[in-house]
Amino acid sequence: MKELLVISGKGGTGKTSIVGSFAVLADSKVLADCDVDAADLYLLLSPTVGATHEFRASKQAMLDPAKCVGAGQCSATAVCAEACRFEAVAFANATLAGSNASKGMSILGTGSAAGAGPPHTVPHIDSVSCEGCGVCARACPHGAISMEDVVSGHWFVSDTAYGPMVHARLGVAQENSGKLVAQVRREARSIAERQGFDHIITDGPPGIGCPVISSMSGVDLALIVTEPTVAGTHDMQRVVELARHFGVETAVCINKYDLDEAGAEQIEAYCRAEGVDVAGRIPFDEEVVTALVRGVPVVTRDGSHHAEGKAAQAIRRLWANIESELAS
Amino acid sequence: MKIALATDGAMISPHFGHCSEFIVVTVENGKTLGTERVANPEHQPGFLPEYLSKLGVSCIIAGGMGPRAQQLFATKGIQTVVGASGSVTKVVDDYLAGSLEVGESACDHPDSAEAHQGHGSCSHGNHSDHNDNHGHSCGHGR
Amino acid sequence: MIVSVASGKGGTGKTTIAVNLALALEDSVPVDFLDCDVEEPNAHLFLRPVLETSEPVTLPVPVVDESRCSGCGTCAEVCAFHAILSLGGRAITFPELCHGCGGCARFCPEGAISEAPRAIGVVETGWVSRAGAVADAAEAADAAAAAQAIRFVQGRVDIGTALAPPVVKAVRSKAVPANGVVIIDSPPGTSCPVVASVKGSDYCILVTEPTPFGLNDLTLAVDMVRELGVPFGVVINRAGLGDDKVAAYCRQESIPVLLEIPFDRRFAASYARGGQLVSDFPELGDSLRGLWRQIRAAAGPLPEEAETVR
Repeated sequence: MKELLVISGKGGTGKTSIVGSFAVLADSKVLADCDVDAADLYLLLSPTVGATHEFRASKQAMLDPAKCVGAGQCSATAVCAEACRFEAVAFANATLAGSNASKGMSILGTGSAAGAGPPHTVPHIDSVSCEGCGVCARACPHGAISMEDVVSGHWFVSDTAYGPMVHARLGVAQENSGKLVAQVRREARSIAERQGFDHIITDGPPGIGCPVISSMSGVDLALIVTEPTVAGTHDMQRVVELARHFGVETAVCINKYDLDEAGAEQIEAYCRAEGVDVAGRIPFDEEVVTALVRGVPVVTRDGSHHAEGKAAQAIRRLWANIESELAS
Repeated sequence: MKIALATDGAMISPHFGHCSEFIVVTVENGKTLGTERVANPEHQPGFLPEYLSKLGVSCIIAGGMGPRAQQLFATKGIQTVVGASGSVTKVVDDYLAGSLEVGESACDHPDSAEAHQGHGSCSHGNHSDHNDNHGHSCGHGR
Repeated sequence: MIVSVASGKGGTGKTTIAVNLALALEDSVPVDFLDCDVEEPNAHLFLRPVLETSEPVTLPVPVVDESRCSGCGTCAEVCAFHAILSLGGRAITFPELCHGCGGCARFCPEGAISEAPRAIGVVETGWVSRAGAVADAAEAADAAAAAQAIRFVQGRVDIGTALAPPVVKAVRSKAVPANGVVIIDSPPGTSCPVVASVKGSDYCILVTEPTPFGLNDLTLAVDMVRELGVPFGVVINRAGLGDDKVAAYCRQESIPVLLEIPFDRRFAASYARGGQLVSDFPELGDSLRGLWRQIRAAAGPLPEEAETVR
């Protein structure tokens, strides 16, 4: 069983479109969408969700104002605000304007502090900034802050016309995307092993940060999809370096190569110099967008029924190369 | 004796081959005496059993390990414990107390029958069947 | 005023809009440009700044004094990120997992843990001359001295570092918003690095494309900016290559579509070469200045204007 990861460095180079077509072309595979911030693969593969699971990876600091003695009464400085390194605790204003009043405030109960008398200033804990480190909760001399489990997202095990698919959705403004990616991969591996699939094909996230790193470890091949633009080339180089750093084998595909053939040449020269295989070149083809709008991969199941355009044909050639690289 | 643990930070790694590093604990009379850190040099198949054996490791604990690796460790006389998870400290404590519970191994599983040979070398502290939703049997020999 | 440019989906044209908006405004208002896409910073490819300063971005990570460590394990208990392990009477640290919260050092009963800076990236500052490309720093300094040029800041995470937000925060800390506009080029997505880029800005421009991918990711980005309480509007890039569902969604949600830029292979070709679109296509500069006027109307006057009698 071999695992293929499709990444890009730069967003928008065509990873998801290519993975969608690979889903059609590969005989025996599990699909995984590890772009958990902005998962799009489902738009091409129309999965039927079989199981939905909660993803809980972090905690949020929650204040119980009944136990808080207020800024004035706390130690020399309000301990929680001083302890927080992430600017998540503030005393400036206990009230917030507009929509922020109901969102982003982790306060249980009302705004008044413990003890008789007029209400004291209680801290506001910003749930967006809170990283769940727990230092404020442990530091508070009055036990007024607790760390609560939160649901950071969901992951799904689904079925598509092309095989099983594992995907996820990270909650808005959440952290731990790396952990959610790891969960998606774990599940995809488990399905592949149990049911004897040949490949896991993973749509990766853009960038080089924690979700990409999490999607990379232990894959058999990372296919880097790039485009012949200065930005695409720059970003591709950083992701090649990242793959090297983690000892992952790479191949490159130049998408929309005819938008700048000189740029494409430069990429090929770079790959030659670095010993990276150029596994494919795909021309710009409006059919890719047309198929996307229709909600299907650009490569059709039965190529003979529709005249396949140049991008679709190029993707078939790309898959043939990738398949043999994986097998070797 | 020396025990090696496949770790990702302070937690047991689910993937023996791709963990961040190994922590090797020296144990005597049920107590931990010292620790060493061993980086994981990936993509050198067969290197680790040899290297850990030279360090004097007699047991390795991980979340999962492929049958090939388990075979290699067996030939070096190193016991393998798979299906462990959670905090490294707790796993070590439980292992020493003889109360380590393991779940399903996340081992690589090609479907050829030959790959299952040599599985008898895989032994667990306590193999209790956890109700994981994986439902796959590694066919561990006992 | 702080204007962030985000998208949800990658590749829709955030950097293009951010860069060209900065260039379109350079004659009318002092511009601070922050490239907060610290994983893949691209703005420098188009703005070609002369960089003057470079400093490492660091995170405080624990250092254990073994002679004082009692092996009590409090540090490991405190750590929410599994970055410290207590075993065999010593504390073992995993700096690459550390978020720099300071908990282990704070709560160690023996005072055995101190903190040391660990480099995770770099932040650089410089200037973009009016012409967009300079021969040397002296020329850039002259250009800067002429009241209104573009001040440039970018950050880059070290390859292999998982944590981007601290580098984003370092970039934002270099902003000088006092009397002009800060334009922030955000990374794609909707999670923590993007939040660090967009949070606290006065307005967010969401750049999208009129395709199902664009629409899907736009809805996620809209959720994010609403969660952050930042007013926002949409720019539809590559209009004409797709369908009309993004426009329909914006109408339905009463989200202002500030600008539509049609798909044009000439734009794509200029972008591919690292060209400045407003130089090659001046009508785009007019459109972007129109975009800016809409943002000003929505988000309020610049600080200096508030003091001027109009």
